[in-house]
Amino acid sequence: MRARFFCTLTLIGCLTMPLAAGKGTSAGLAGQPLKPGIPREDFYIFRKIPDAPVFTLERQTSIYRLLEKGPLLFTLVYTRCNGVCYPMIRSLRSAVERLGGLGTDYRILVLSFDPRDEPEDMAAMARVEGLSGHPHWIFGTTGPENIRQLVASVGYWRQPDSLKQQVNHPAVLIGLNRNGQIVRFLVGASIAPARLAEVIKEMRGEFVPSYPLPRKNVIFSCFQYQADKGLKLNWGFALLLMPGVVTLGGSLWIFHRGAHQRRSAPGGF
Amino acid sequence: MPVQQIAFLVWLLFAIIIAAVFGIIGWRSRQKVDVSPARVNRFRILLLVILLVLSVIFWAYTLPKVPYPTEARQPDMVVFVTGKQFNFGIATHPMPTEKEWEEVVNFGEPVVLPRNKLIEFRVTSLDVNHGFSLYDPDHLLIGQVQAMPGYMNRLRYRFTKPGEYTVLCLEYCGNGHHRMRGAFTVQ
Amino acid sequence: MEATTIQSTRQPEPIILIQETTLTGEEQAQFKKLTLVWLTTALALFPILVILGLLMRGSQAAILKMSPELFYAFMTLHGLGMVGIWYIAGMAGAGLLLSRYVRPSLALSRGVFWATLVAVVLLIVATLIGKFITGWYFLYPLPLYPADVWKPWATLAFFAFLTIAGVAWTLWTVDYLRAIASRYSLKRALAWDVLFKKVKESDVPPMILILTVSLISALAGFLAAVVLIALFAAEALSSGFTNDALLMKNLVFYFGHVLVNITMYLGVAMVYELFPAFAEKGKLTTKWMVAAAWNASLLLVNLAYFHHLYMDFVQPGLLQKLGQIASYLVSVPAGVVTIISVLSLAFGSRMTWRLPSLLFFLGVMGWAIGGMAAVVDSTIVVNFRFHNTLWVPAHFHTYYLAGVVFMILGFAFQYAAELSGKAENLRLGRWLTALLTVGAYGFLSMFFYAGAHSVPRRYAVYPSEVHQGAGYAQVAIVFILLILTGVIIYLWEYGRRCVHAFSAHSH
Ligand code: HEM
Ligand SMILES: [Cu+2]
Ligand SMILES: [Cu+2]
Repeated sequence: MRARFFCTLTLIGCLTMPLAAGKGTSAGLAGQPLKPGIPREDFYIFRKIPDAPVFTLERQTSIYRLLEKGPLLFTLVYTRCNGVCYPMIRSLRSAVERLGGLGTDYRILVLSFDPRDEPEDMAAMARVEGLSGHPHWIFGTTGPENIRQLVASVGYWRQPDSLKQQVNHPAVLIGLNRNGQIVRFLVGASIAPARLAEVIKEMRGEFVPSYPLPRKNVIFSCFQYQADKGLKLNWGFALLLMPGVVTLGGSLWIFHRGAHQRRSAPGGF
Repeated sequence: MPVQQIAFLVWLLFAIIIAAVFGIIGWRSRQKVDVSPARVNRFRILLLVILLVLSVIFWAYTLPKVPYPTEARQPDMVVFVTGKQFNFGIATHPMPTEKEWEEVVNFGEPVVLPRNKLIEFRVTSLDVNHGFSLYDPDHLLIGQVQAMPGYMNRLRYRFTKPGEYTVLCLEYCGNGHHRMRGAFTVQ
Repeated sequence: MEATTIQSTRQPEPIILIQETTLTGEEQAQFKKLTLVWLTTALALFPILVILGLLMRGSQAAILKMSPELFYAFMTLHGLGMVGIWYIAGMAGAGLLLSRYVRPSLALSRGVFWATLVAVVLLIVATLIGKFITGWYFLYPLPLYPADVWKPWATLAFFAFLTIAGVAWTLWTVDYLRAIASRYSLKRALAWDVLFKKVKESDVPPMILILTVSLISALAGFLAAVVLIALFAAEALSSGFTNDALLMKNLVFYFGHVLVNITMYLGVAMVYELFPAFAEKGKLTTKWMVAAAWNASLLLVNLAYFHHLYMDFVQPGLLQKLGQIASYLVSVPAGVVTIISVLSLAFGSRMTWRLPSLLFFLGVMGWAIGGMAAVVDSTIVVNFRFHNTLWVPAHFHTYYLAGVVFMILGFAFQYAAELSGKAENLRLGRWLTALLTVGAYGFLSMFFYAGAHSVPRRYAVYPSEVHQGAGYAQVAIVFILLILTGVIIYLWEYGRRCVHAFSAHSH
């Protein structure tokens, strides 16, 4: 009797799970709201980024010189940001730590788009994020004219908000292959490791035949395929496995229940 | 020989063999013959082994040729394809919104692609699933990929034959499915 | 050759209705009647659905003019209707055969019957009147894009049909499993004692093994449909959420693939159980090969459906390749084992070929030929050029129409013949078989040929690039008319026997 109750409960649970969970994750990583003016990678795909000097506290180099050592993950920030910049760096850092490959497959270049930022400011930002002196995270500044060029070359925009004394801007992470060509944009402050893995793959020179576009409020995404790590179990994948798992459990239960009858029935086995 | 023809002939060969075997056995059912179960079993194992070996040969031959490239070589040209009931927008620039899609569908210049160059089609859909297909100038289907809402599918192709190519929809998408099409030229 | 007198008629021998049963007298009579009702319902709908197919081919042949909405309404109804009637007929037949060994529930089967009738009415209303025309697998998100073609009530009616049929058939499936479980342990039902060489052969009949495999798979398929319907509902009812198109595609093909496969297996189970008797030989036993092949099917049927998603490049490449390997392995062993069993039974048997045994024999052949076409198409490089062309309907019509439909027609005829005791005209049986076979393969060859010539599936009319499709459709019509003639003759013979059986009983 108890078993039957339990099974009914599981079934009801399974049936309502999508509804319940759908509400829960609506604001989660799958759905990034599509604002107008979000940089669209399709307009810039495979274009070459212009060169620009990079000033850090320790040295002076340039984007192209950095590219000589391998692909770059590139993003634009400003240190006075009260909004998206710091959370994005944090999210990127945790995703990168999960995926690995930093330093061998690619490095990360964080440039300021604010002419007021000095290399010291960028170094401070690195310190805040616990990345001070990290050999593969490069926090730097560049010249005002270079900022203009870079911003135009990736469809980035800046909108001063005088009220809040802030600059509105999108959060975009850009994958550059070793030729300095744009292979992928990741839009939004939270970096999904699965998506980042695709960018890294592509930067490394592997072809990613398909990927999800930024979408609104997707209930469950399906396969989160991670380079080198195989399939990751997420809600969508779990739903796909659910019929099989429930069937397995259900069949075992049916035959377990049958055992009583088999014993009591005449001619049973 | 086009892949279709090879596949058709392989199937036909097997179909004829199967039909012949059934025919012969059916005919031979008229005389009384005793077959020992052991012989049947030996035969069964033999056939299974032959077919499994054939399968492995097939896999070894076909699996490396899947149309999913692995190497991110730089394409020579990128073409954007966006499906929407009931038309394909095909252009050298993307059309992320309905407005831009309509622009392309109604007023867009026909796309001309170079021969023997690696072309990347970046395929997606603004509404339901559609099927992006390549029909060559002789109307032979030479490849396809699904146009899925919310996804970017990348089909790479190197055209060798010049002429007018047609795109027909290969995923049922509603009452205008058979009318849904697109076109481009290879020079 | 000996000058034996060739008999032109034969009394039906008891092959289905043998003494072996678990049911008591009254129960058995009820069960027999219900089975006949199930079979007759499916068979009565069959010619109607064939006519829808004929009309579709007429439109594609540019002979008939109809609106695209009407064409696609026919297509949706024909597809779901056919898949449905052969599933229920297969389940009903399997249930009768199961009752030899275990006791399926009569009351439940009756309930499922009424629920199915309601579902069928809803389906007809949703498609023909409501113009809900999403094709038989209602691929997400098409049902949510009605444009001006169908109204919300039609969507509702359609999903009500799905839900009612889904729930009813799930219960039916669970009941059969329960019945099997009440006599056999799971290990024995799946012949693991043979598989792991504890015994050389099992006294659990192969039919029980195949049905257990099928029913468990069917359960998984139906549960996938449950998840699918829930996700559709979540999107339709809550504002602002969307589903992942890839997840939905995986779910619908999991469900669709399993349902179609299982229907085939139900027919095959009948063949295992009955063909030995037709060949006047002893029952088949479950040996190692049989056990291994069907257990492999159980394992792999969950993976083979990936071949429906080859052209979704977003599906991880590993799964695609796995899909190709699984597709081969799911069909080849089970096919070979079954085919050799049937051939060895017929070989040198001196059996009298009657309509049912001919249809069983040819049905297995159709399964093999259609299965081979499926294997060809499940090769990724081939699928790149065959996906969603007429090759797809070609292969599944082969193992359906010339496969499981032949088997079930054979079963139903034998059943009606035994109930009525009416003699069978052997010559008529042979002509009828020839008519159906020629009709079927002629009709199918046009699908195959068109598929190999790049003609897309599901086109109400063919555009100029693939105008050759119209010619193939014209040829197909001739053969469809042959099938239709055959089906009508068959139904006449079948119906006469049913009437006779009832008039013989009711006095
Ligand atoms: C003489 C008998 C039959 C005829 C003339 C016939 C004809 C057709 C035609 C013309 C189509 C549309 C093909 C296309 O352009 O895509 C079709 C689709 C289909 N048929 Fe049949 N068919 C027959 C028997 C069957 C049987 C026995 C089944 C068993 C399940 C079946 C299941 C289907 C399904 C599932 C579809 C696909 C519907 C869709 O695409 O949504 N048919 N049939
Ligand atoms: Cu379309
Ligand atoms: Cu379409």
